[in-house]
Amino acid sequence: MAEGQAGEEGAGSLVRGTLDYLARSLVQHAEDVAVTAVQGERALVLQLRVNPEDMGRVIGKQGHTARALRQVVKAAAAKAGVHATVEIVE
Amino acid sequence: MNDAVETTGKTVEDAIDAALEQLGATEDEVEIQILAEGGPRGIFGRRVEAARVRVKRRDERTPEDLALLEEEGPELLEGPTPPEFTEQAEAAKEFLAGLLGAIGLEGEVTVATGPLAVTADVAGPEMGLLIGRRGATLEAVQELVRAAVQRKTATRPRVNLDIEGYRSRLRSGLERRARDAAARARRSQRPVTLEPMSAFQRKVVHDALAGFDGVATSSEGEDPSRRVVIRPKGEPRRGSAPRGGGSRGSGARGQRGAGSRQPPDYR
Repeated sequence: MAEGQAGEEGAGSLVRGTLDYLARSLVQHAEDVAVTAVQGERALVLQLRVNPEDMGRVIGKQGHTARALRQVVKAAAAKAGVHATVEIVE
Repeated sequence: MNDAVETTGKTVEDAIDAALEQLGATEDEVEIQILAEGGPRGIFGRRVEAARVRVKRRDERTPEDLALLEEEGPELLEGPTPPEFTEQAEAAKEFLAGLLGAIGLEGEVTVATGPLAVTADVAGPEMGLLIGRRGATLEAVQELVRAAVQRKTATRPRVNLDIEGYRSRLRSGLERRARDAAARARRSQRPVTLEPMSAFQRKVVHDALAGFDGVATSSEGEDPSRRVVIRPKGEPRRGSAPRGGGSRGSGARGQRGAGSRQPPDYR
């Protein structure tokens, strides 16, 4: 059981790492990027925080960048065998 | 219409205003290069140098359009690769390699530069995951590559992404469906209407059928439901009186400008 738990966390950390990597690639203030993983009832909830100046960069025109972030994180989650959702926290 | 002008003015703003007027453009539609700041010159500041700017209408073609041009218009290939493309290619490669590593995917990234666009290709054993349903993840990755490249290089990104040849397969699938539909139109002597498509896809269809005997293609309706109609050639003439523009032969391609927005010629 403890082993299964560890495995799940390992998988989740790859997904979290993917979001962290993507966000850092998009922002001006990489040092202010923070991703918190919260295990929700049905999915791993990834909360993304960035410097307020970078908000526009992770959301993009008409939310296109945010949508793309979610789509790619979903793919990473599929690879890791977990469900994950992304919340961009103001 | 002129696409670039050089103007002068008392101040940079004046020069820009004059240029925008000449171009009939707004500030967010152009790229501005300041050639001279203007202002006082000389020890006593008595002589005033004019501000000079070069204002160019921004190229609104999408990277997909440019990739297509690259494929179809070898005459356009003449000319140097813009210097920022090398930097963009490197940034794209670095970003994509990092993404594969973050997700835990094996794969190889190759990039190439041409005069009109940067092409990035990702190949590897589990790429279906990165392509997604109907290419949705591929589109998302492309969006992110462009955003990352723009952030890194501070240049307008011209990067096109393909994964395991997905886009090129899509293109040949579309061409095959276009030919099937054209054969159907010719056999039944009735128009065949395809599903709504993007401008890029419609162009692929028009081009695929340009040399197809016995049919003519046109695009009808308004985006996003604009679609290609394939008509048997001569079919409209069999009716009572020919109407409107009639169906077009390979000339359909030349009609894709303002003229093609006429009401559809239904029969």
